[in-house]
Amino acid sequence: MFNKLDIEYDGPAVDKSALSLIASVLVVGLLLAVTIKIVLSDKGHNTGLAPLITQNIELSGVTNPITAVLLNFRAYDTLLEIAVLLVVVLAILPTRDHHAPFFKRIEVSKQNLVLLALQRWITPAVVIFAGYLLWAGAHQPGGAFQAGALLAGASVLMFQSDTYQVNYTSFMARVLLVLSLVVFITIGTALIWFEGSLLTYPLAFSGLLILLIETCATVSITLALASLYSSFIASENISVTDHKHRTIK
Amino acid sequence: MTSALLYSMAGLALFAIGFFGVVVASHVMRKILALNVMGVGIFMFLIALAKRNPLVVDPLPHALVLTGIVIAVAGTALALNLMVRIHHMDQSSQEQSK
Repeated sequence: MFNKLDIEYDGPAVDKSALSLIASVLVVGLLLAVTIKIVLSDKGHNTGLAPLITQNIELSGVTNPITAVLLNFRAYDTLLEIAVLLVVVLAILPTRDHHAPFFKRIEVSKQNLVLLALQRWITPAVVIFAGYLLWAGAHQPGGAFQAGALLAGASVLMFQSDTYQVNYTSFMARVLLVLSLVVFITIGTALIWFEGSLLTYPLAFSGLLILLIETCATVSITLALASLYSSFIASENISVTDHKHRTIK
Repeated sequence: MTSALLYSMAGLALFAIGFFGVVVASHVMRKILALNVMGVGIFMFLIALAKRNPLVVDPLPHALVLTGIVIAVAGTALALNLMVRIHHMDQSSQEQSK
């Protein structure tokens, strides 16, 4: 009986949003106090790890400190980041027909002319600019992730304009998706023989190795982001076919 | 009031908005969006604290944020996919029960 009473309770409802507001104000107040303490207590003298990085920048093979941190001093983090991206893609990509071709041109039927023209003008420019960003990453802001994000944007545009269809579960796509992780791990473990520890680049080749890893990472990141985008449309289609199967049964 | 303090407080404000959204919102989509707002607040906070000294920029938080953005995108995509999948499962189970 009490159970039933519990379920059918319709007394004054507890205002959930008011409680949450109080909770968030408390949390943020605490964070605010800590932040003010941190910022004001060191009076602007704290430079973090900046001196350490600028002292050792010659050893990294690149002159942009952020790229030096990402691909040399903390290369392990970037390796794991690429692995996380790959794991997410593996979790999302539905097991579709992997015998279909990697790249298919769709015949002109119901294409949007504006998108088509836009795609024809913008895609080549984006490809060139992504190449520039990849190259510029060694000495100024830029690098694999920015270039990969740009190229993924271009592939979203191509996807929307219905000109090309990429099968992200084909063998070629799988190879390109794991390419950066394989190259990264191969270089990292091969360096144990030559340099004595994981991901310690030899001084003479560090710039070249970083460029190689970044190029492979650009390809994999592009494919990963584009496949994440296309997975939403793909999951719609799959659920429709599932539904059909269910009605047949 | 230094610029680092101003921007880190703005980051905290974004974090607060996102936190409130995560707790209050009932729809999963809103929760995911609020989580993203929270994440952006944290990124802004980190970048603001990288320039506490007006002359020196600490590149380490910048690299950290760059990594974080990619992870946040991946996590959001995973969450949205799960949301779509749960939505379809709900729909089909409702049709079966009819």
